[in-house]
Amino acid sequence: MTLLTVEDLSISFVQYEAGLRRRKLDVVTGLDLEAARGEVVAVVGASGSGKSLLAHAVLGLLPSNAIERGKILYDGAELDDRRRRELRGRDIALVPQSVAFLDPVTRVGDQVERAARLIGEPEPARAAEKALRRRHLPEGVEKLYPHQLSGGMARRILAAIATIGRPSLIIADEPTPGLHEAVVAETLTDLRRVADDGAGVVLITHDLEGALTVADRVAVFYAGTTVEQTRAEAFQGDGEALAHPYSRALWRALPAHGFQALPGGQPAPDDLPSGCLFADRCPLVADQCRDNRPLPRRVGGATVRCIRA
Amino acid sequence: MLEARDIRYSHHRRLPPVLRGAYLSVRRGEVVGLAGPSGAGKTTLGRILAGYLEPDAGTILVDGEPLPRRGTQPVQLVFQHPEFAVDPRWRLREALTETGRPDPSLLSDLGITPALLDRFPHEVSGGELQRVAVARALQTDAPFLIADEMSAMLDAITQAQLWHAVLDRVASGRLGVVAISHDEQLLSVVADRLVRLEEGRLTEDVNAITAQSVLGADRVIEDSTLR
Repeated sequence: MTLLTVEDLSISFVQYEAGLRRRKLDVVTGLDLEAARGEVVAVVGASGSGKSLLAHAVLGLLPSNAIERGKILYDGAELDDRRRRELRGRDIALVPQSVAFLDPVTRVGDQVERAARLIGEPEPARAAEKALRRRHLPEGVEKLYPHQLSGGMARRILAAIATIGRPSLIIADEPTPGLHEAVVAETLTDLRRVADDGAGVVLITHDLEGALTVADRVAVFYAGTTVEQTRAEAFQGDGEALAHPYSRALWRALPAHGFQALPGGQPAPDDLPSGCLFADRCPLVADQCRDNRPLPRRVGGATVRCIRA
Repeated sequence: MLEARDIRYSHHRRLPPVLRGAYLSVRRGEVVGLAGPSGAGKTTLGRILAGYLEPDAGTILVDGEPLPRRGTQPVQLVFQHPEFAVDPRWRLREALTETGRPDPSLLSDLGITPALLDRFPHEVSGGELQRVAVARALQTDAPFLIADEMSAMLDAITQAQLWHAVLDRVASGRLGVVAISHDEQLLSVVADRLVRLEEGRLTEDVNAITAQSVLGADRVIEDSTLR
């Protein structure tokens, strides 16, 4: 069953610059995502494509000058501000990026215990210990400070804190950059295991290849729009099973699949074209692509925002 | 040619050295991949090569001369986090022109638009900032570039775009590159040869291996021709 549904989400920021001159930034326009229990959905795309904003929106962490439109459903009901506050940290959890999210001067065990207390565990110390053992962290790790942890151990501590309330939905925001290969594999396998235990996992990453080792489905973001949601298996061969030209370009840019570059860059959020956001870089662009933003439609097993797919 | 000769370095006098007797040489027109586990000293060696760190012993030579004390450095360094490479209060245009006159064809190769240059660092994405950081380094026409995890934070398309701009300059013989990365897949497509820096901190035995495996181009144990 679908746990999280994000439909046509848009997020704008109003900024004041030089006195009262206002500027509106459309950072997210037309973002869609579906995640079900038991599956890992990878969200991939360039930096600035709206990946982290999606996480912040679902957790109710957008700043107050953000204007949000569209629909977010959780467990069949609308996820409004009140429910976001109630559910985050308990039923919806965020695994943050790095060890920098741990308190550098507090022992790891105390930090896990604090997380247990915050979600209302009657016996936080025992709950903390169980959470650490469940992550296969050795005894004695409780006594360590964050700087004494290896990269892989730090990931497992962050995951232990995030999952201590046995959440149904886990959003992992860029959990792997700068990590050694073995630690990357370990972090991803761990997320897979959480999904196999019944939770829904949204894996936000720019590492498409790593994500494909554990994901069931992939949502491709470009300039704040979901251009395609498809099965992970569609990423293979020459990318011919992919419906959107950006998804194909992303696949063919990987060192192992052609290392092909694409000229240009993402459009700026205060200067978006009126038509398809990818039109300026698209090899298949036609006149009508520049008139309107393409709406999502089903093509084969994928949902894609492209009239040429 | 860029040469590191018998480089020794430790982060603290009471800590065992990270580098003990490292040799490396890079010619114009080639990319040397530097691989190895985290903590092996890859970044430290890169910073020493670019003159950001003074080695405890050993010398860095560019065409036989030591690194100049002032002026445009012949060895440019681009690292993983461009946020720390630019002044947050400068528009990107100022950050770019600080190192010379921007070359329009380079900017277009890197996907940098004039509108982007009107922005401040906090107004653009990490990928856009890194494009500017690479342009800043390349437009100096410095003969050597150290790319330390230059594209680790980038999506595949931006990564390919930046590397193609760098490799164009390598192919024309104007530039030699040391590519530091934990992504061996990437190194296998950009590097002409690979040097592996093994864990150099824990035991004497491993340190001995380290000293050998970073011996100069002709004497590297795991040096392999890739491209």
